Amino acid sequence: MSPIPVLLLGALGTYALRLLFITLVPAHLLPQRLRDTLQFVGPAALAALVATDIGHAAGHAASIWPTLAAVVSAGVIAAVSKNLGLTIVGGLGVSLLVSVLV
Amino acid sequence: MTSTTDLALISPEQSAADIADEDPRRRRAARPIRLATTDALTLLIGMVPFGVVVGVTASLLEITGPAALGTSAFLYAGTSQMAGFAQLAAGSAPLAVIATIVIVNARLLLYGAALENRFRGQPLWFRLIGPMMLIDQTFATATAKGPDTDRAFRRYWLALGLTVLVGWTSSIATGMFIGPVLPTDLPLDATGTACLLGLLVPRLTDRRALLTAVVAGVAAVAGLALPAGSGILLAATCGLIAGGLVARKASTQKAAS
Repeated sequence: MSPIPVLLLGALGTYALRLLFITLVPAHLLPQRLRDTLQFVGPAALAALVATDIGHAAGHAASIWPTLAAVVSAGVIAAVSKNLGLTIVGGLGVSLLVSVLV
Repeated sequence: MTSTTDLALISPEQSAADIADEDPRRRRAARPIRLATTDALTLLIGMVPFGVVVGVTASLLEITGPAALGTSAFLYAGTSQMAGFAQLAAGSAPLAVIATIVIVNARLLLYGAALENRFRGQPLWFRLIGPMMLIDQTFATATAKGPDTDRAFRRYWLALGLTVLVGWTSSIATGMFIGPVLPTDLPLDATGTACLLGLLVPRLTDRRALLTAVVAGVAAVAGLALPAGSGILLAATCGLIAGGLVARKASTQKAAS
């Protein structure tokens, strides 16, 4: 299957997520317990993805050090600056540097 | 952005600039748009480099051209796009790629729930089109600075979302254009991880969020052998259950005391 239809289906799924609690099932109609749990969607999904990325990189000798460098530097920059753009650019910069050195 | 009501105020003798200067109603209407444009340009300083990286990665995977760019604009979520690219590069099944994109964007549910009160009194067209512009940056900016009235918020949200979308898509196009001349061994996939961390770390503001993240992370490592996408979904569910249980316990204790 060509990648573009796959990405398009991912985009449609994403649109459904955006629409769900705004238009389809307005959030104020949800049970309180569910609304309490929703606040953890971000940390749960993002932590699972970060851990998976690290786990996959650990399986490849060539990518483990640049990935670890990106993780450590991005974690520190994010904690200090809380700036997404700076975190990405900093993580990429350190990762590139390590990939050249190792 | 000019409504029918606004256009009815324009006489043939007046230029648009004159009206903008003289008509207080138009001046008030233009304010949210001007504010949104300024906010959007500030956001783009941080977003453009990542957009270029997304475009470069797309070109390395040979996902280029108008259709690819249109899909990127519709997806309007760089982190999930990078995660999807990583799955495609690893040769994962289409369903795993789609699941990964949707899982990465699952936090948009939370943003939608939090912003719903700003959309509640709005016309249906806006409740259908407006959510397309819901990303981390527009959510954070609109909740902090968005105007209070429905009409002003509508103008602000559309101007903010569209300006960021144009800048974002242009940066991806730039990346696609320069991608072929870059070396192929760049560790660009680390950018996706850095972006995820940039989104995760500021959310770890209390014990419950931290516990949720730790449980999800440990579960994700334990589930690495599972088919792509399903391990992440399972891990995120484990984290959500842990966070939900702690939140429930805390609210029970609060009610008892």
